[in-house]
Amino acid sequence: MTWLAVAIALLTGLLLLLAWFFPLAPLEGLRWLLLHTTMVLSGLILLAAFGFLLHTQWQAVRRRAAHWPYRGLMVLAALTTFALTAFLGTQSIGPWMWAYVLVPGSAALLGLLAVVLTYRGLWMVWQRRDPMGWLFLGVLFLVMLLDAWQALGSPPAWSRQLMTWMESVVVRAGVRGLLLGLALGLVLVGLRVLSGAERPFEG
Amino acid sequence: MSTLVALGLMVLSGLLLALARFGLSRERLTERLQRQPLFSRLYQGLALALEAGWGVGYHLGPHSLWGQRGGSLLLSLPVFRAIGQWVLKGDRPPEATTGDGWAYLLAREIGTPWQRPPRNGGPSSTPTVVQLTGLRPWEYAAGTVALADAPSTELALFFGSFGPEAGWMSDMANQRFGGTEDLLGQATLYATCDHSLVGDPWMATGAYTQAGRLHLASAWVYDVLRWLVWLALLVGAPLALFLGGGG
Repeated sequence: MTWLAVAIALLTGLLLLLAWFFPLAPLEGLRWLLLHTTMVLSGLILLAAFGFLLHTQWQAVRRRAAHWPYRGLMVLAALTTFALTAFLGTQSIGPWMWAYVLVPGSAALLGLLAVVLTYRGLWMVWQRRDPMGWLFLGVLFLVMLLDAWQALGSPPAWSRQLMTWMESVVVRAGVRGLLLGLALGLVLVGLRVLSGAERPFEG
Repeated sequence: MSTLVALGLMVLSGLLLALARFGLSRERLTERLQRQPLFSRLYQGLALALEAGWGVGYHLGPHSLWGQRGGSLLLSLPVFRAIGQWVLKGDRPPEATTGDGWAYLLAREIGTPWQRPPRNGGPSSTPTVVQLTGLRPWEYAAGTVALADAPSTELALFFGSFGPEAGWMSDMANQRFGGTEDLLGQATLYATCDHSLVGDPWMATGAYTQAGRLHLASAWVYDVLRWLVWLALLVGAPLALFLGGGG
């Protein structure tokens, strides 16, 4: 049956690619049908993954693995949210959960990340004593200094010009260079998968 | 026009890939690989982990396979397979985490044969190979730190699709290696990992981790394409300047 799975995967990939390059009516229709099916499948996969997540964590609670109280709390919270959403609908509990649980939680983690990164920056001073490390830290310090200066007071014109030059020349050139390289790499990843030589859907 | 360029690039890449795969020997392709110190250190770390019986954590990241960042996960899964098979020489398979349902199922498919059969009807003798620790980036990071069996791993590989949330997982192991396609993620991994890949070497990770001859061929094609882009820029920039097309 492996060959059938490979054939279906390859055919689907090639059809989607053809439809992207040649947007003709029949191909476009097929593309939407395939994308729609994939979206439905994505929902099912998400549900299955949610089930796996609960199962794994519940097993860990049962065998009293490390951090089992946290795991138990997570299972309880996940089941409560799922049940409330299933019975009351997404519009009743969803926006509240988003605004008062997920957003503050993510914001708190983002805020704490600043502390973690500052700590790791100091760690870098001790651990990574090479030219790249010093350059990274030097640029980081300069950008933070210029940013803080602009936010707190009225900095001289040269500091704004330096910041603009760094953003529009140095950063843009670096980002473009990196993105060009990454895009070429992604083309090759796509080709490997589309040609069927690499099958991430196979164990 | 841009569609034609993209089509041309794909056809050219495909032809070069076929040429490298079937026309160049494995030895020749290996000789042409640029030296990347990260991978020699990675294998030193893996060997040490095997010898000491330490766990190896492989983190695929929170982002979805079904989206713009899926390419990085497609790249990371064969590397997971290659590193997992290497680690299997020891007592324990790697413990992987992900934040995406698709990636979870695929990684599970890869990792299932590594689990040893239960003895005397008891539970499996190896721990769960893949864990889904959260379904969004920040929840994944918090979940991986708090819920995965992280304390038992001494070597953590952050090879997948990561953003700044990777910074949260920086204290998870004694030795950390990182690689991702996201620029913010690369900067974060650079600051938080002992060894990380910056820029395009991440795209050739499969060639360095013995994920297959096709990966070696890809690395060769990748070098050729980079030279072509470099030439195009070298010729195109003055042309655009002289013909008035440049900014």
